[in-house]
Amino acid sequence: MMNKDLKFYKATKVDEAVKLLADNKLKLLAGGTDFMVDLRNEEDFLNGYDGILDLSHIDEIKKIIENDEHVEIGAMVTHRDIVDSDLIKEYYPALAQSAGAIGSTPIRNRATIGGNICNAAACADTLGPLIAFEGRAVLKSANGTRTMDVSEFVKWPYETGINEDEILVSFILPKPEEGAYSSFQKIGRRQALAITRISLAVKAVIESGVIKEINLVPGSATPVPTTFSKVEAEIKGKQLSEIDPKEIGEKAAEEMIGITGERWSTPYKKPALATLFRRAIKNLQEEVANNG
Amino acid sequence: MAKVKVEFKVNNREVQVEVDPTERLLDTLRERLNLTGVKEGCAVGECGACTVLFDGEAINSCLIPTVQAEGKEVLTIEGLGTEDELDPLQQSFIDYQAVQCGFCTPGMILSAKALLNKNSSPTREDIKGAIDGNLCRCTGYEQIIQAVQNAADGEVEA
Repeated sequence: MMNKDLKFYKATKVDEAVKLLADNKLKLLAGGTDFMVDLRNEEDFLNGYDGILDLSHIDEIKKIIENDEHVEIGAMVTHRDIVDSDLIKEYYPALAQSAGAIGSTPIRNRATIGGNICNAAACADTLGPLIAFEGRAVLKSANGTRTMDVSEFVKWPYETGINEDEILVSFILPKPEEGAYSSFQKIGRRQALAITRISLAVKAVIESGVIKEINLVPGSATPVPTTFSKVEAEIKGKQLSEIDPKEIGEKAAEEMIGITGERWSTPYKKPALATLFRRAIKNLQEEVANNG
Repeated sequence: MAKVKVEFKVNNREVQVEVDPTERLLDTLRERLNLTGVKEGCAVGECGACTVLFDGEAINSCLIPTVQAEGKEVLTIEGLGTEDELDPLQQSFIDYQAVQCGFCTPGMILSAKALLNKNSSPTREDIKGAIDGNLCRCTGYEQIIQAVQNAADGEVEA
């Protein structure tokens, strides 16, 4: 049963929100698209809380801001804002593609990037690209501000490194280097509204046909999305045109099994992940060949 | 939970309600304001039957607590057109037989309305994208797409 003494709080400033969190244990409400479903499905959803804190009126964390070296994306920026942002499309195409792949138009109009990451599902579509772009999460509490690599932020499915007195205010993404490419692929049951079965975010820097940097982050393949460092080490420094996409696909599938072990879903995920890696490398080769 | 007073606009009319903070906008619209054109289908944001416009954007009213509507403008199917004159989209849905059982129709029309408000001559792909959150189990979507095309610019691809 829901506690009748629970209180509803609404903040319009980050400072106000962190002050409320310093004094109360509050469940944070962002766009509501996960919150409202969980609230109805999980009887103990608000157990142990003093109330709900609504973040949807805090305009200062609904902005995408460009600085000299990085872009800061407010936690309350919606997936739709990301899809529509020329800045994101230019610098972080994989992030724009992943945001566009989430849910449906009405979901994207409401669901926020901060909510997607704090909910921390293994299939959270924006998580892979944020890790691939080496994003950092900015967390605020009444005691100050700290940042954390997005790759460290999610600890386990539905568990993050955020403290109870903190709110996630933004993500800071370094601007991509000259010659950077990125892509996002997703496999779901159907195009709209399908939860991701498996996905792959790629960010690569190519110089004179050589892979200088590469981040390969599959989603829904491991409990928490992570860079596939063995495959990355395998291809970093090599001529892109000399890489065999099929071989990389097979190695990626091996690396996944190295992390997860053989699971009930492995017979599906092994060839699916291999295909995503093969496609990603092939696309990269084609794109670089076409752009000279 | 302690009730919260919320003031917002529905179909151009100021309303004030006192709700539990966990009450869904869907329930407020249907139960308190008698706007039963808003339908409940899946209750998890997958079917789009509960779609309304929220400051002009299509959203699932089953996924928004009413408290978040404070200061917002909500449009439901009841606010579209008048008793004497239907909105061109409504008329077009009739003309193109885009309605069978009708359960998805209010949400479908509102998703299309959000599109046409921003883009007066959408492509077929634009229309499909705009209604990607609305399921229809009867029509097979074709008549719906044609109805939206017709309402937009009168040019319908067969």
